[in-house]
Amino acid sequence: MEDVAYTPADVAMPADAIIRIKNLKKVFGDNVVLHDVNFYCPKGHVVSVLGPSGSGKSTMLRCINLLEQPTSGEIWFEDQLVNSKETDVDQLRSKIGMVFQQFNLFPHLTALGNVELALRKVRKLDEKEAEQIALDQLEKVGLSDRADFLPSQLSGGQAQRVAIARALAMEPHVMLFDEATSALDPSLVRDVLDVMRDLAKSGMTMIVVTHEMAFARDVSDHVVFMDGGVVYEQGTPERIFDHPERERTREFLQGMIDITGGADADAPAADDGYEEYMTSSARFQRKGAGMI
Amino acid sequence: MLHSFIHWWETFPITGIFFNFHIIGQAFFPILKRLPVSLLLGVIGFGLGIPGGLIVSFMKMSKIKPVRWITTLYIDVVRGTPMILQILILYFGIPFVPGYDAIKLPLQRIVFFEIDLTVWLRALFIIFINTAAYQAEIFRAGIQSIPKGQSEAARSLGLSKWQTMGFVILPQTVRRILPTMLSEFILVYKDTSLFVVASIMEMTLQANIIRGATFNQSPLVVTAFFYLLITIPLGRIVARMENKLAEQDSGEGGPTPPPRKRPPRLGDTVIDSAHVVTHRENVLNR
Repeated sequence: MEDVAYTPADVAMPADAIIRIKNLKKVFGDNVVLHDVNFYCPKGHVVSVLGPSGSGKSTMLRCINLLEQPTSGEIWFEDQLVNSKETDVDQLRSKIGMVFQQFNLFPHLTALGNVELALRKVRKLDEKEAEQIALDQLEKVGLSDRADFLPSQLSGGQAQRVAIARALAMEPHVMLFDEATSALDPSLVRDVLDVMRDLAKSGMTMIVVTHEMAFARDVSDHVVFMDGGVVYEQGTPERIFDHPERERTREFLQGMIDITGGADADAPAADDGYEEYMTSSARFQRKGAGMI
Repeated sequence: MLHSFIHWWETFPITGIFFNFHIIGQAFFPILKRLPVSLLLGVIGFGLGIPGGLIVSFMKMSKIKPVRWITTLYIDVVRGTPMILQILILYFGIPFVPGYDAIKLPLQRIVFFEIDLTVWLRALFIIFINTAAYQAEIFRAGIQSIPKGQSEAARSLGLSKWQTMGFVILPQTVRRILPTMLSEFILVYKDTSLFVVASIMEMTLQANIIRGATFNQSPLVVTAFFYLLITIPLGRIVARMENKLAEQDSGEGGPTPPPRKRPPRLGDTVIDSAHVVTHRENVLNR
């Protein structure tokens, strides 16, 4: 450890920020996964969380909807303290959408059934209403023709888009993405990222744990770099990507550029839209390379 | 020619003792008449065991320690003792339970297949107690074989714990444990023959009575045939379902299941993502 982590614990958090995380600590047995995490996400903003694997990004995300119980600290969702005994967990989770690395679609239900389930059982909508909303959501992610397919009949990219539609159908106030594209073939990543881009444009509040540097740079309003269970550095994408203050942030970004460069070279021939993805990461690559 | 063959067949020690045509002819219909008794004991007992086993499996996975302890004790006792002993203890023990005499008389007047209701209920209760313990372990192993991501996804949508169990976990569990459950039914069906010791007139007792009267083993061989009539087709269905599940699972190409914590030992209920295998017979040798 060459220097102490930069954690602005006393950073002023606007009370209207939809998610506010203060002094979050999470311990598994003897293993301190999160030391002290502080950041907030205003309504309509996209926060990208970057960092090497094992840095606690996913655990932090899972604390927000209580899939993991924080050891100490405070997580605020709107005007509600998430990690308090009085929290109605199910009601909280129905307002926070989550998308997982492994999709976690329900394999015994069709795409439509996956999207409908929570509408029927949590929001208690009748069959017709639920089906209408589910079909609308599937159309938004470009999969209305796959409504009756089982998850085993979908490609990874399609499955993840169904998972996004499933979360969106509940009209969440914030969406959490936990490495949503990490389990996908490089050729399928773009479809999912496009959906996420559109979602960001439509004003959805998003917290995105990702290794897609181009996406983080282009789409986010705020970037959080985590390492070793602390927020190491955070700021606007320009600041983090172009003028990182910490040595470790710089090293991490340089490492990611090398990997991304390699992956892009292997990517299949471009069709329309893929160009855009390529150029954005190529642009990032140039800038990134220049900064070191 | 035919007569001399039959004469040879029935006087030759092996064929005459085990496959005597005359005695098979005599025993066939009396034994067939008791087939419904064996089958009803198996089907109803097993059927009652399904909700019973499910509840016991929830208790075994309970967060409350004493509930878990009691359930573990129950399962260990049932799975660790011979069923014939369970029958002897409970069948002849239940009549000593206070209050039994009060319900005994009215129930005794109700008779199915020449067996009165107190006998039916005692026998079914024993089968229920026995199979619920085994089914609980099948359910538990099945439920725990569903990837954690499934319940996390359901809970993150706002489904409650029980909604998640009912709409997400159990439907997937049923598909996986169906072959094992059918195997368990085959075992229960075969175990109904143990009620010989309780003098319940099912197939095996009927055959044994004819054996005693004729000094010939052929009636028991006829009984074996009637058991096989049910168990062999069911066994084939089990094998086919297991193959189908294995195919489907390998076709899905989903995430690989995490490695098991320790290699399975004899007596474990083992689930790999494709099928469920109990080693029940190997260990307990019932």
